[in-house]
Amino acid sequence: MKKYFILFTLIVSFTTAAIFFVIISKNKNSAKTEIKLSTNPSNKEEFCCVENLQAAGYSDNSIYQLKSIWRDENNTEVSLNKFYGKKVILSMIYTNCTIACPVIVNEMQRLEALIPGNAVNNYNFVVVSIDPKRDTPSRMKKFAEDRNLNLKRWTLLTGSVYNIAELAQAIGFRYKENQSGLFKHSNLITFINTKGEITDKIEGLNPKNEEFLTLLNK
Amino acid sequence: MIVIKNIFKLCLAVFIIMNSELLQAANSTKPEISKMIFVTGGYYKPLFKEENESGKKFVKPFYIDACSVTNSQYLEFVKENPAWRRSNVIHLFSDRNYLRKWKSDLELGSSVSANKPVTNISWFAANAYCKWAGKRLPTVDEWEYAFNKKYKNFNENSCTALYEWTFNFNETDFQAGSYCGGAGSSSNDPENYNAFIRFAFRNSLKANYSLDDLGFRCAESAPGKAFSENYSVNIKTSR
Repeated sequence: MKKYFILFTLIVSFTTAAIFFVIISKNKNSAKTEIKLSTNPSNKEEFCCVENLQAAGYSDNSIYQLKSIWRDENNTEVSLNKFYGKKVILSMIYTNCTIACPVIVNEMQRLEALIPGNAVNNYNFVVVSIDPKRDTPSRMKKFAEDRNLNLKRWTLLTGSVYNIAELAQAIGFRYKENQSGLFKHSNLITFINTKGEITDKIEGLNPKNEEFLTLLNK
Repeated sequence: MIVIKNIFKLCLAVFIIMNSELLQAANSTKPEISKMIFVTGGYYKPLFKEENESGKKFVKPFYIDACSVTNSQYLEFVKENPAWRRSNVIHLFSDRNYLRKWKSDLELGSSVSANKPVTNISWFAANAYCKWAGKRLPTVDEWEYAFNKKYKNFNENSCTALYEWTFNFNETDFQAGSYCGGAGSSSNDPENYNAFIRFAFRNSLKANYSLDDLGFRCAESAPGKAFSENYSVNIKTSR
């Protein structure tokens, strides 16, 4: 009789403890999710905008679906969809580069010169730096001035490591920084239509004028 | 006496039920927050040597998820971010295989287990998830360095996807033909076949591919330990 009584009390206390434990652990769970939600409001805003962009009519393949924020050569914040409505000729370079990058920019200038008359005003020439450590907006501006780039049509962008990677992946540009701060990279000029869709790419250096012209006339 | 015996039986039954509920409660908390491994910094020998370089690279300390991101973790992300649901995701960010095995936008279905690594995820999607979780994708160097340390779990099939995304997955030796013929000559360790396969596989990927065996895990720079100042700062400002 006494034995049962002791067992009984033991079991009752066990169950009470168990109930408490369950209640506490459940409360903990909801607290955790609350914290998680409250630490992510900024992300919510960010992802909201992807839908807004879709609503704005950018197609599934438009690079204007990227919501990254950049700085131009005047240190003004710009997003890529600033270029919406004009054709874009874009390259990714770094100003410390001595071999291929000046050639790529020269080629873009050669292209610019090939576009007849006022038609050139329908184009934006965009140069994006892949070297955020060294390429500040002021350095990009100096780069533009040294090469006489017409800043009415040309924009030179600097951005975060993340945004650079995202844009590079979107246009199929590959790069790799080595330990001495030099980059291996694709030599790529990307042609983008008024809606932000990639229409053509030129890879490699020194394409012929005729090649340029066929792309421009597309 | 009989009454007490019956009460005893009843209590026992209640106790067993409570116990099973306790177990369930313990299980349901599992995917909440993933465990991360702290990886101390150190020298690492990449598979491919850079020209004019010693062949060793310093990797700064960082944290890396112990397991690949699971289906149920990814489901939470998708619930909160409608743009990343299967029916909403745009082609720039993923091909049509995105979350292919899930039953619907917000249902895993019976063939997908909640605690297994999520696959059919593009690089853009993996990035977005890590950002949402307050983390980032590991770099190739970080991933390989951590893998070489042979942490428990990391190298286990049960919690690791067969292949995983890294932040800079296609930056290694992308020059044409680097994997044909002469590739072995620039490799530090020609016998490291698995690593070679991983590098070759990464090199063949495009950022919007969503493949069957390709998952991911996230990393975080170790605070105050100067991972790469620019890197972490830039990620924050890009939000």
